[in-house]
Amino acid sequence: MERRGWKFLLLLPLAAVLGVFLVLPLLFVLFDSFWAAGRLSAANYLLVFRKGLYSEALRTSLALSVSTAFIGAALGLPLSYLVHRSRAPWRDLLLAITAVPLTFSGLVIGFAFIVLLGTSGFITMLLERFFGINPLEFSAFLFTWKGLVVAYLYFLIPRMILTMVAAWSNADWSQVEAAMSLGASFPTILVKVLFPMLGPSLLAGSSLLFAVSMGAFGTAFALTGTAVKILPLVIYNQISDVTVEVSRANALAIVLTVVTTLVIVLYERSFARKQA
Amino acid sequence: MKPSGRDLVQRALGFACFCLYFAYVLVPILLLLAGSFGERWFSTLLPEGFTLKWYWDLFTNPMYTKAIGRSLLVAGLTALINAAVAIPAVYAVHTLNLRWLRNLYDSVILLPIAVPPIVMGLGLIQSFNWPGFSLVGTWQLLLGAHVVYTLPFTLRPLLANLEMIQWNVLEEAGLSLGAGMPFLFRRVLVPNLMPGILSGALMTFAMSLGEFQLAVMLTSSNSQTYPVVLYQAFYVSTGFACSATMVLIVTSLFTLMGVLFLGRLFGMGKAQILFGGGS
Amino acid sequence: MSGVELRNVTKAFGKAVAVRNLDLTVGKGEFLALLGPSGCGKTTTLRMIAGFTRPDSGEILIDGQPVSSLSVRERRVGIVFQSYALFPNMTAFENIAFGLRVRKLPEEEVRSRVFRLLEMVGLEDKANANCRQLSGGQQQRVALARALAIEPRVLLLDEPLSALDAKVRNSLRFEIKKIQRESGITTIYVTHDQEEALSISDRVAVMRSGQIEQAGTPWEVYANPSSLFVADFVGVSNFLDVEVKAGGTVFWNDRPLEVEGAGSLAPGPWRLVIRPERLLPVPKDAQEKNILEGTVAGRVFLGPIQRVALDVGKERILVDLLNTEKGHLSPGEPLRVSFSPGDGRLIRRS
Repeated sequence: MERRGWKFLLLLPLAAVLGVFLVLPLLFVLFDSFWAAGRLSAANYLLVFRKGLYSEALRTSLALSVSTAFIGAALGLPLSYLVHRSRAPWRDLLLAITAVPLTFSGLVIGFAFIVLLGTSGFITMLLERFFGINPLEFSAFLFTWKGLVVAYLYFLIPRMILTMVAAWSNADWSQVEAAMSLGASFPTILVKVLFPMLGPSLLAGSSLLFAVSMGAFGTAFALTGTAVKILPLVIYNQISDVTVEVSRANALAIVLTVVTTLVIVLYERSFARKQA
Repeated sequence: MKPSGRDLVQRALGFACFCLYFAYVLVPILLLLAGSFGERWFSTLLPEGFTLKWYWDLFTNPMYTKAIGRSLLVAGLTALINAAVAIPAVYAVHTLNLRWLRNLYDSVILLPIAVPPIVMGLGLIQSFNWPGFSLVGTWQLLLGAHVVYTLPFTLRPLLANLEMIQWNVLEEAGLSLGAGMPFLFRRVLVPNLMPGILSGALMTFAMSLGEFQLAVMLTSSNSQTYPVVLYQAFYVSTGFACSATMVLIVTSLFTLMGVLFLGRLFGMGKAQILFGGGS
Repeated sequence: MSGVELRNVTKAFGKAVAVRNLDLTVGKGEFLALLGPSGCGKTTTLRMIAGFTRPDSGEILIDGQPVSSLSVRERRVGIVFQSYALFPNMTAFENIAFGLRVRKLPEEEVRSRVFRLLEMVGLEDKANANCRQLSGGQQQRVALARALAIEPRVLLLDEPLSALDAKVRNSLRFEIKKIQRESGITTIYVTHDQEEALSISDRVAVMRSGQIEQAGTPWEVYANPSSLFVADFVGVSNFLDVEVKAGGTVFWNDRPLEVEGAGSLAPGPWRLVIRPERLLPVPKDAQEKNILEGTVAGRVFLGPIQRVALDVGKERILVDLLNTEKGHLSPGEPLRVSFSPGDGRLIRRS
């Protein structure tokens, strides 16, 4: 029947939960970020771009996210093709394996990489034994943002693979065959057919990877405490340190949210374009 | 047809990639597993000796057992509340079939990535902390945060499930056969929605159980959940840390097996169920 | 008493009017096909009869009883959906039994009724099959049996065969027809496939833009289309732009033609509709009426017939020739065809 207005009531619990535990806190952060020295001002935001620690944290986070997005795409693309091309039992196995890192807590991944690449980690020891590489020098990189790239990729590559597997199976191979039959060269096919076909998904996957690395800090926390100055950890430091004004942390948080939201909108747009 | 040399090379390359990827995902887990049963692991390639001591220590230490209990409570309640909130909402989104509502829903799914946990935690700390009324440092506030954080993992499989069975048409068919809404819900909707409900609940449960980022911000020393005390375990000893980590890994793997099994049983796409949010 | 009656029914979704002042009567026990292109309002009409959609104005009667105040559940209409809509958690038996169990019939009677229905649709051996294991055709048979189980006052079918492949579609089409005839249930069958509509129904109602363009037996609708739209939508037609002069002479590009009934028409521009199979080949020296002479532009082999494109002057017409008539026509060959004055139909040009 057409009397279906009551169904909107079913959305109320969801709206209430989101309102109380997400929208309200977010508004609080937003409002307070414009509060400095007892009045409304943009001083906190100016500080984000002026104060070395903050702007450097923003730069480090961006560097980390750009790197993971690019490397994740570069590694995820061939792996997703491997998953796409493999047959029944192998394909299921690959998909199951791919899902494993997705369910892990960031903390677990952080610790796993200490055991793997830390000062007395498995690979570090292997390299020392067979190539005489100094373990301290080798493992030092793990505790910089470059090390975070390596650890983050563990849970990001699977996301890339899942996005791209869908893209491969939706891809219209007859277009490639048509181009080949018309005598197109491989570079032409790549630029004119393959890229337009897979590009949107690649963009979607990369922006997802970017946004996730921008916001996550569990793995980084496990690896380095708050030693690596990425944006979420700097924010975390701000609130555990009583002497610092919370308003500054709020301004940082808003900057972070704006970046991740913009990237996520990009993700949704390119995803929608693919499905259209 | 005999495979040509080029085919063989391609296949070998594929197989090599396959093995490398396999090792990449599994070796860290296997190392942690080995470490959790090893007596000593210091400046050696692999742990030495075999012991159950670390697990014994873990499960007899009240700090850890209490945290496990608290985590199970929070995760269980998160899954329950999530189902209670998400099932009606998803039903409304599917049956109302409105474009703007669907777009709104798609945005809600992406919220936990768009609003990172650090920002959410920051906001919760400030908006639930007033003189005379403060929830900061209680597990109840963490519960609220986890409900929001894990919502996509419940919403996504549920809507995919409704769309797969084409509930809109089933409902019309049921009504035309004379069934009332309560009868339809009990006899048709719930049985057919079970895979979505279960896999959503499993994912949500596992996510909440392993969630560290919100927990470290929102809990205090007497409301710590398991991941928070696990972080402290990293500084105890390698063996102990490995065994404490294995607890989370094992729950994750069981969850995953459950979800994949459900997907297989009911013919849902794996990507559909698993496509997840932030770590 | 009519089985289903719609009186001046209108339904709009926002600004888009789906059904406009629709009047339609379906006799009791009649099989009516609602035919039209997508978006013509035929599904909306069906959904209003079923009770899923409420008309903005007008009245709907089932077995002479107004049903506006009745909900879907109370209307007792059987519906067969394009997507089958079987309950996936139930067996074929349980699906068919659903409506009976809702009505709390004794289990003994449920069993005997369901098995009778299973037999009717030829699926006695599939009673305990999970409906996911059944083929598309079998699923739709179960859906049909499920709809019939509640002994509906009206059976509504919404494009029930369009998800099936051609072979299954044809056999199921005749089975539906047979079952309908045996049970005598008033049936409305929505389809966009004109061949299906013509072959299955007692009466066809052609819909366009929310209104009924023409309703009649399949024969009437095909032979006497009342509008250019119907002539074009149902079957294949030649359209010749002609001039009707006072006194009933018809001119097509200055060529005089004789068409029955032209004398009573107002002079002016008209369009002459001729089905391609009504154009018959005539020998060179024949002196029949309405001879069109042209050259073959091409032909398509369609099994029992060949469809020839014939260039007459500057215009091209289609001629269907039975395959016994001429073995092979090559492009460029001359061909003379004629039609009898009763086979052309004049419709006003707008």
